[in-house]
Amino acid sequence: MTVKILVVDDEPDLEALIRQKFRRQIRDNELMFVFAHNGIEALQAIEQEKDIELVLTDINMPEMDGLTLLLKLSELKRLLKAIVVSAYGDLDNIRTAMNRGAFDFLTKPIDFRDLEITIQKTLEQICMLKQAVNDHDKLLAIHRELDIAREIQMSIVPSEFPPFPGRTELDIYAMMIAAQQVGGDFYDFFFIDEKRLGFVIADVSGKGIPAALFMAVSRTLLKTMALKQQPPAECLYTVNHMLCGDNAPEMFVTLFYGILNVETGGLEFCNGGHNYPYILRAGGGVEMVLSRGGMALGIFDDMPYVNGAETLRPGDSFFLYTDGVTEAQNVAGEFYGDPRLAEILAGLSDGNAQNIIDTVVNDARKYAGEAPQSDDITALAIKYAGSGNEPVAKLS
Amino acid sequence: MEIKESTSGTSEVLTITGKIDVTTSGQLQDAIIAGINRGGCDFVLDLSGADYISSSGLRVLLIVIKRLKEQGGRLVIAAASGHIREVFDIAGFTPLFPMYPTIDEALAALADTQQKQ
Repeated sequence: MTVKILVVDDEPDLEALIRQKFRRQIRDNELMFVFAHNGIEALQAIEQEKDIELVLTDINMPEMDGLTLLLKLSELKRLLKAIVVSAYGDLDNIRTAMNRGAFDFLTKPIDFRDLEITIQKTLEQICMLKQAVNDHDKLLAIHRELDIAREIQMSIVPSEFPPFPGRTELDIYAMMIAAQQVGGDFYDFFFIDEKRLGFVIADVSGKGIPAALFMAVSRTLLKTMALKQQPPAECLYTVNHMLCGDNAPEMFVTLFYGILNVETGGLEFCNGGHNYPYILRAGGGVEMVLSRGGMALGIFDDMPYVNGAETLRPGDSFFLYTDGVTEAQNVAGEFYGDPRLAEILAGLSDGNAQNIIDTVVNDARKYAGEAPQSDDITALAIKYAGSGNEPVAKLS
Repeated sequence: MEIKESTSGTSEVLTITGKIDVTTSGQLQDAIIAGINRGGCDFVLDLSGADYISSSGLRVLLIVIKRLKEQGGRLVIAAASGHIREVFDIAGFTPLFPMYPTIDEALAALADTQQKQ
């Protein structure tokens, strides 16, 4: 590629001299020279010829001198490098030129061997700068793509609350805060039929783009199986089978899937290696739902998954979360932990779903303080208001 | 996270100090894979000094045991804290990684089954 160099000097003989000394490079199209005789002409040339990359300028010239030209060059948003030529021993001007952004200097009379080396060195520097600008642009493009990926990810989890304004039997709220632009957590909820609400919370191993891709696949598989009206354990079994089919990089997902019968409060679920959720009883009291349904999904094919069951009474809430909550770390590296979570939940039995989520997430973030968020934080709460048709509670 | 490696009989012992999370799990994977490539077969992961393992850490251990399984190797865990055992437990990983209260017991278990083989 030809490099275009602007030579600025009021010495009329210089042009012929340069054309003579660099005739091989000019003939081979390595270098191309443009000439100007003062700063003003130089700026005009730069304006006209956008591909000038290097300026070789004298200091003392009529109309506009080299030092003023350097100031003007620094105002242009161009990838230009300047070499100044000064009288031997003229240190003051050389210092000024360097401070105004000159890349290097030569002294008169010009040693053309030295000039050639200096040009070469400057061109290498320009080449590096171009590469850096190019890399920077690429990085910006990646950031833009990540922003779009984030929007896509946030749009595949339900984000409008209340999600089912007509349904008075329940109150749902959820929150997901990714530690990076995209994350590996997700939640979901949907009506399978008139009476049954399916809901999911899940956490993919790792973070960032790999986790986000695996999250999108897991979420889609689970929802597809769930809408086929399969019981939770059957759903997890099939999703696990499909995830194992072609899961080369050993990704896995912990996943809790439950089905709430909004008419009876009956809850059927399967916990595939996920953190144990909590039930907040209407009158107070917090219960950890310790039922384990099977292993995290995507690891071993043909693993058994079993259903668990609970009953929500009117006023009870079901709280699910990912380990970003309990493993939120403070600046000392200590964990938020289950005891603190259980303690804060104990005071929230009267709250609505949004109160519960907001209070827990705010507490976890308060606990973390200035420490950077290390994992995705996701939480989902379902408060069961009751349908008026529940079976009469048995006395126990 | 820091990893110290030592050998005891035919087993390699890796002593982990600190947190095994998304930023350090790659280091753990490299260390164990390097051990396997050196011809190591049985590994004890000493977690007495480890205070945390994230899902990325679990994932690395899965990759490693899959690799070991192909070569007839084993990996057992020694001295894991209650918190770490709970992480394995909740994810359903406990059946995959035999756990022992001390390194000596882990080594003895590996040696014992070796004799029987």
